[in-house]
Amino acid sequence: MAQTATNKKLSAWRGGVSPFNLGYGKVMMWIFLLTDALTFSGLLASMGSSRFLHDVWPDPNHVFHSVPFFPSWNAPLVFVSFMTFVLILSSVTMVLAVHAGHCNNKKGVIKWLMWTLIGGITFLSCQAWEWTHLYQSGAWWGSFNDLLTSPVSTFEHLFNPHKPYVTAALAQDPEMALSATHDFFNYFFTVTGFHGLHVTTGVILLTIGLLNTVNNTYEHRGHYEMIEKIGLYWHFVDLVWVFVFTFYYLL
Amino acid sequence: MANTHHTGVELELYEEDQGKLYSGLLLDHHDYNSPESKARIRNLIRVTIILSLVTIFEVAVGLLLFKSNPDISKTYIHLGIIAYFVILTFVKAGYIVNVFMHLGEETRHFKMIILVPAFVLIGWLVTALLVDSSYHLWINETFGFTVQSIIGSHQP
Repeated sequence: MAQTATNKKLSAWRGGVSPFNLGYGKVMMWIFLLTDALTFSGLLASMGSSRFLHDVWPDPNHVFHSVPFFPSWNAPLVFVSFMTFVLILSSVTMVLAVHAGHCNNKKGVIKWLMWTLIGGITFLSCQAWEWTHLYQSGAWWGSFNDLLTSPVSTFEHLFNPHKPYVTAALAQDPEMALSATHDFFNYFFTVTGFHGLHVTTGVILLTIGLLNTVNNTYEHRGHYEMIEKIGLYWHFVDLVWVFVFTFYYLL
Repeated sequence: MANTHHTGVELELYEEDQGKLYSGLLLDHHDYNSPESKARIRNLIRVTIILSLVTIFEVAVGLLLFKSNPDISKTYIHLGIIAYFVILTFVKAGYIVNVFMHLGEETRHFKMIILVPAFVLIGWLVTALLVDSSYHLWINETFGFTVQSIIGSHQP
């Protein structure tokens, strides 16, 4: 028996070896993020499918052009660029927190996690303002579904008036433009809502991580792997926003 | 890196606390103020500047297009605009995944396990949906009047 035990070699199939050199939790977080990426790409791809089905599509520069505190401004892209920048910066502070965790630097972890939390909460507040603003201007899930209750005059300003084929389509086929506006807002609120839900979850995870760091939980454990896992999740939220920004606000 | 044979203390740790062993925390327990640590932070700041610059380029071109209203009925202009934004998006995504999420530092097999399903499945999903819906738009535009005159308008 003793001889077979010494002869038994460790291999990836028999255990005792880590093929990926990664902790179980981090591997599982990556697998979860992969599946979550499939969910988000399902939402974005079906939005693209709906866009390809319509001759015309609302122009984001004419839909999202407001900035809080300055109601008279006509500033497309300005506010959402600010939101993107906040999320990128919070991603940077998160990776600095992970780095401090690698060095077992408790003070650094606390400092950078606080900055990340501030970034996440700022982003959520911006999104809350944008949703409220759109809701007050008549856009919501299921809005613009009938030409009787929402005639062309209620949605023609969402389209680009400088393109001849768009103005022609609005005049000749208002049903198509109505359907495009309807789909645009349904997908907008679903995609940004699902992303906002992820940011909210991230903020909760960051709060738990911060409390555990302050209470020396990870100090006693001897490593800050939990901060790395929360960091992976937070970077993924930033990654999704990069795509939402392009496919919703730029194209 | 992969298939390391662990013995002694490492094997005990493997059974008790994988995180300690495999997240590299036992290996590079370096000081926060060491040169390696400072080099890493410098690299992160460099990537931050790149990400910010790419976003600024995206927004600048977006505003330019808003002001100038290019004629996108020309296919090469339309495709050029789409390609510009999509390529810059993938540059940003690459930096986030590679540097911020440290995927570049993982083993080759782990990179494959994450990236291959993502590219294959998402690539196919997007291609299938977009090709299908542009075909349907073509059907509607080509035969729309004929179909409407046969089955009647869908309006009540």
